[in-house]
Amino acid sequence: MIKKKIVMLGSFAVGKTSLIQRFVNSMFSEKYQTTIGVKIDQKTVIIDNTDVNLLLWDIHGEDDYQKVNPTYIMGSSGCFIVIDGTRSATITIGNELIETVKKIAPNSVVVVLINKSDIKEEWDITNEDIDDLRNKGYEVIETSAKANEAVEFAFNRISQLMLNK
Amino acid sequence: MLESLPQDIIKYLVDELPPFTGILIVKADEDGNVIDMYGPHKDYLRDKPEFGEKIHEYVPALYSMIPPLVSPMVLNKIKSNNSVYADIHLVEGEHNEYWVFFVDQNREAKSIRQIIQKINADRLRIESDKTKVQTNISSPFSVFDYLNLKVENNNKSIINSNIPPWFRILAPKYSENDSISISEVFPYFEVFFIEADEFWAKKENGKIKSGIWTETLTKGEDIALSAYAVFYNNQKYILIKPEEEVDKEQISLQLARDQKLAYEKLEKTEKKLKKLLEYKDKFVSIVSHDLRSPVAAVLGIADMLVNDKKELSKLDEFYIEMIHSIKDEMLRLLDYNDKLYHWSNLELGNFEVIKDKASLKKIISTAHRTAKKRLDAKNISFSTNLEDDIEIEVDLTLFLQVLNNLLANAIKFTPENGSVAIVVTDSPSLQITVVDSGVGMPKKLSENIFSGFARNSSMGTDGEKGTGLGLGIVKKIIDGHGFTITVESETGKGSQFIIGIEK
Repeated sequence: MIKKKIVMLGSFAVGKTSLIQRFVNSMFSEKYQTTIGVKIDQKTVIIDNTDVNLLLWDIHGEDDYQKVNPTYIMGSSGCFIVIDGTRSATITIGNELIETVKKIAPNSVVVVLINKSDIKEEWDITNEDIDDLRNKGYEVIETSAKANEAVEFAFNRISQLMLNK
Repeated sequence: MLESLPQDIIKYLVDELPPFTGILIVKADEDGNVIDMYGPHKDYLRDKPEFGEKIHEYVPALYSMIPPLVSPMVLNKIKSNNSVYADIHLVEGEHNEYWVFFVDQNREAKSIRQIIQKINADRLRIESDKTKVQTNISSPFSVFDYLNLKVENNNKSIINSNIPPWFRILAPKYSENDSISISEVFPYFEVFFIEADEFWAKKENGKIKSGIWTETLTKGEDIALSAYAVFYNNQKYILIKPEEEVDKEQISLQLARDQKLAYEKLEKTEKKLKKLLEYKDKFVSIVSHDLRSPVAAVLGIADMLVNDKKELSKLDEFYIEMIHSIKDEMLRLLDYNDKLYHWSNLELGNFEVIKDKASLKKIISTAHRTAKKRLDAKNISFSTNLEDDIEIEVDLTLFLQVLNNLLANAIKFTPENGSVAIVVTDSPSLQITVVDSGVGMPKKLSENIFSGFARNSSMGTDGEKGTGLGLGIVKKIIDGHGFTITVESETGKGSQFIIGIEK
C-alpha cells in the first residue's frame, strides 16, 4: 500500500484538528482545544483504484507561543495550509508557512484550505486574497469542518495531486 | 557543605528547584555511598544517613539508581518516609560524584491523592484484564512509566524495560525483550530519529528530548508522550514517557490563545462599529444636505405669503396665524437641518481647525451682537469682566460658533429679566465662562449634555425649542482646538459653561 505523509499547518484555532477529526472520525466539537505538539492519525483512501494510506500530521498552531519545528514537515508529500476565513491575519501566517514548506519539502504538494465556510458572512478574507493565493499557483479549497463542507473532497484532492506528482 | 557546592550544582539548584529552604541535599559516590549531607534529614528520612552507607538503605526507591542513566533524573512524588512525599532529583556532578536533592511535595501530594488513587485503581483494573507479565527488575526504569528501548538501528530496537500500562493499551502485541520498529508504532519517530541520529553520531554520553506528540489510547482518550534519545556507554537508547506537564502547558496556552481570540473578535467588532457609525454620519450628512433645498423652498413660499399684505387681508386671523406658524416651524426645521448637517460633518472629521491669533474682546463683542436680539426679547442683561484684551489662538469662525451656541443656550434657559455674562480669568490658565442666572439642570442631565443627543433637551423658559445638537457641536469644535469644556449647574441656580485654554 502506498503511504503518504500530509502535514496540517496554520495559525492557531483555524481548525486543523477539526478538519482531521471530521475526515478521520466523522466528528466535530464546538469546543476549541489547543493542540500541544503533534498528533498523527491515519486513514486509507482509494484513489484511481489504488489504496493510499494517509499519515495525517496534525501539528500545533503557529503563533508567538509555539513555533512549528521544521523537521515535522520533512518527508511530507502533501501539505495543507489552513486559513481561518474569519481572521485575515491567518493568511500572513499561512504564507510564511508555505515558504517554510518550500524550503524543507520542496516537492510537497501545497493545498490551501480556507476553513469556516459555514460562516461566510463573517469572513474577513476577500476574493482578492483568494485570487492572490491562486495566482501563486496554489489550489484553494473552501471548507467547513463544522458543516462537513468539502472536507472529504479536500483530502481526496490532495491525495490525487500527490499521486500525480 | 554549602560552601563547597560546585558551580554546576548551584546552577541546578537555582534554575530547577523551587525557592524552598527545606531541601535535603545528599552527596554520594558512584556506588551510591553517602559522602556528605546538608539539610533537614528528619523531614525526609527516618534515620540520619551515615557516611559510607548506601543511600538506598535509607530510601529504597534509590536502589540501583546511582549512577542514574540520565542526568538530571527526577523521581516524582516518592514517599521517602511514612508521611512525606518528595521529588528526588539525581544530578551527576563533574567529579564522578552524585547529588541527591529531596524536595518536599507533601502539600501537592495531598491535593492530588484522590486523583492518583483513581488512576491506580484504573491501572489495577487494566492489569488484571491482561496476562501477567514478569517484571524486569534489573532495569532502572522498571518503576516508572518509561518505555525503555535499546536501539540497534532505526528499524529495530529491543524493549528493555517492563511494559508500562499506557504502552500495553497502545500496542498490546508487544512484551519485554521483543524486537520493535519504533517508527511503525510511533510514526512521530520518523522525524525524531533525524535529530537522534545526529546526536548519537557524536558518541558522547548524554540525551536530547523530543517534542510532544499525542497517541490515542482508546476512543476519546489520548495520551501525550515525549521521548529522550540517550547515549550511554556506547549504547543508544530511546526512552518514551507520558508527558505529565502537558495539561498545565495546555491550560496556560489555551488561556493565552482564548484571550487572543477574544481580543481579535473585539477589534473586529470595533472596526465594524466604526464603519457603521461612519455610514450613519454619511447618511445623515447626505439626507440633511438634500433636505435643505425643499425646506428652503417651502420657507420661501411661507415668507412670500407672510409679506403679501394684499392676499393676507383676504384671510381671517386664524389662517394668518397658521401661515406665520408654517414660516416659524420651517425656520426651525431649517436650523435643525443645518445643525444636523454640521454635526455629521464634524463626526466624519470633515473639518479642519485653522488657528490664527485673534482678539478675545472682539470675539465676545461679535457674539454679544449676534445674541442681542434674543437678549432684548427677554430683557436679559449681558456683561463681561474682560477689560484688557487678550490674544488667543483659535479658528475664528468655529470659535465664534461656540460662543454663539453657548450664549443662545444661556438665553434659552434664562427667564425674563435674568442675566448672562462671559467671565474671563487669565490665571493660572485661561478660562472663558458663560454664566447664566437661568433654571440650571440636574446632575444627570449635565453629565450627558455634550453627547449631541441629549434626550432631555427641553424647551426654553419662553417656549424656545431646541435641537439638542448645539452643545454636541460645541464639544466637537472645542476638542478640535485641543481645549476643554465643562459644565457646572444646579437646578434653579443657573449654569456655567467653562472653556479651558492651556497657555
